[in-house]
Amino acid sequence: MIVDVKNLVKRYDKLVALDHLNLFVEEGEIFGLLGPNGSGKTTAINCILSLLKYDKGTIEIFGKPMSQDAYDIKRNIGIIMQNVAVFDELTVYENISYFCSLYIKDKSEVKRLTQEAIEFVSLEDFTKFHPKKLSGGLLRRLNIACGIAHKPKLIILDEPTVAVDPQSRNKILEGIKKLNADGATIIYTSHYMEEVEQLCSRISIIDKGKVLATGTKDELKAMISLGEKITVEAYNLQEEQLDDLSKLTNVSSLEYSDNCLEIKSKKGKNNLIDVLDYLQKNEINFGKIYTQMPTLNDVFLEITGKELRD
Amino acid sequence: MFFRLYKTRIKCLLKNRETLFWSFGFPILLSIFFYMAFSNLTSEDSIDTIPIAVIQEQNIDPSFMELIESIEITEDKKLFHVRSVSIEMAKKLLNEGIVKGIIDYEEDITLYLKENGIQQSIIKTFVDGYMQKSQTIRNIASLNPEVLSQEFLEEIVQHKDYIQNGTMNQKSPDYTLIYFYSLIAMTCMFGCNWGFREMVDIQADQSAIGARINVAPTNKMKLLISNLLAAFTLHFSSIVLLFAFLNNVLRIKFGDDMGLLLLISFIGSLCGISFGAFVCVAFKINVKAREVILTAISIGGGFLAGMMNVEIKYLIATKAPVVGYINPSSLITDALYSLYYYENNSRVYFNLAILSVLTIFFVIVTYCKIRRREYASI
Repeated sequence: MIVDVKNLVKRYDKLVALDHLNLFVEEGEIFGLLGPNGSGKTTAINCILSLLKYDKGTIEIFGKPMSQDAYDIKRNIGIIMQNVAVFDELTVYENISYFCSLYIKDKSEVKRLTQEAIEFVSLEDFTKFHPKKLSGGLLRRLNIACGIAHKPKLIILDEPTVAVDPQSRNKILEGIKKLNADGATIIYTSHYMEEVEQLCSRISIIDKGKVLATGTKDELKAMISLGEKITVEAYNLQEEQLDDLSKLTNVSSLEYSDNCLEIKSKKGKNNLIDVLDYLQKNEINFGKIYTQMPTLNDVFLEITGKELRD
Repeated sequence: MFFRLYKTRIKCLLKNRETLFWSFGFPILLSIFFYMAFSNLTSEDSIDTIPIAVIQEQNIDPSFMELIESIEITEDKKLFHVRSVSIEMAKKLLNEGIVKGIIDYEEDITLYLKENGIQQSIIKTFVDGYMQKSQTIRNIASLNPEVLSQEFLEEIVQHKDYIQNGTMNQKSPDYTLIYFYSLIAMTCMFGCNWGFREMVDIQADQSAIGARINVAPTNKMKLLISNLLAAFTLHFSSIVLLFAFLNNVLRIKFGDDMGLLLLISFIGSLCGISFGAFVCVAFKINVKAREVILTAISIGGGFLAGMMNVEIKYLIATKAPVVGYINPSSLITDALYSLYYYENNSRVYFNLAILSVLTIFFVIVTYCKIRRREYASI
């Protein structure tokens, strides 16, 4: 096991930021920590990195207790913070080289790794630029390069795609997959469920400092009572018709507004054919049809009663 | 690794234009302003021989003429250049500014002046002193004439030094130097901004960079020393540059012991940097509030060291000497004064010793505060 967090408690006066948090991360996986803003993701990461004092619990990384001066552990960790952490006075190359040199003693090795990191984040054309001259996306890529240049075994990314354009976001996500493919274990925190769903092999959903559920995305979705969701663009549905539709065998719930009919199926069931059949038989005009399997947002909604982005 | 950290840090600091201006540019600008202001002041107040007219028709006491013509500024420089002229000529000379005053010696002395100024004040002080002493002699002669011996008279009419106090190092006092000393002290204390910045950049609860650095497997002490050393290198360079400018361009004289002068600046710079680092770790408030505290303390220290008003320094020295002993600006200023004025350097060493103790105190507290630190909040 790469990371093992047991019963972690962190309080800020009366506010309990982490409430007996338990996590474990296996070697080679991309582990997602999913939760809304303020749920305790960054606090958990800061405790794991021994930056924050915590009130109770144990943290082990690579099988050893983590502490402020556990340099042998730290040497194998790379961190990409939520806030960009680079020196404005140094160029792209100098920044990556400086942070790499905090981990690697050999000068030529630092040079080689710096070059590799630059290529990895595709910043070859910007090596002599100062951070202030970079766009938001490029700056995020520089931030990532500074965190991974020393080739760590464990990489922690704390919301690395906040305020990033879609193109840079895709590049970042592809990069993370590549790092993982190259052997690094990844901890990825985000409140973007799509990213976590796309990227992570295992996910913990966290809210109010507690882990609510952990598993693969399929395991998490299997925990809830909902199945497929059908959205139909249907015109002028009457109360009676809505009532009929809600009585179809596998319908769990139904909503209709602005000519948009949304039907949620019961877990593991499908309603699409029955719904279309009903619309045709009753000569109801309809347009586009979408079907969607339950998302992590549905999981979060069912567990907490609120949307993930609340 | 240490050298690489040090070199990168130097690079970083060299590109911080704001800090560079305040350390390298601002003191030089201020020294130019001081120079412009005080060079005029000095030229107006410098003492030259004062031309005066004495009205010749009158029956002047020869001892008075002898006295007035004998007073000297230096061995070859008389205080007064006396012209014995008619009253009309005297008035003409006074109006034309050729003489600064007219002495009309009848039974009493009457002094005529046209303007106010240091030369006129000297003439008046002389005349008042003479009149007071001659009145004293007259009183003694009428009451107790037998005590009036030649020695007694010589002693009583002995003129005092009108323009000069004795100095301990045979140097003429130049009070404008106090401002330049304070400027050097202030420049030393500007080091606090460098020290502060270094601490912000290595503390996880102060900056994102600090958090990233704290996660790295680098010894905090090594990092602290390399960063502070980089800051010190540049800051001390700024002081040496200021000295070079003052000495070679403005021709300000700081005494002959350049080695000791640099030692004062060296320890002053260390003290300034360590003080900034100390303030950064000592207060548990946000960075902006800490910056305000730092600025307030450093400017307040300069004020108490006499930078804005020389009298304050003496007031502190007499009423609250402890404040002077814990104020680095005051200690630096005092060490520089002592180096210039006194033959004996014991007071310089005393100031340097306290300054060193303060520096060590700041460094130890800073290190203890950041060593193996896990933060309560970030």
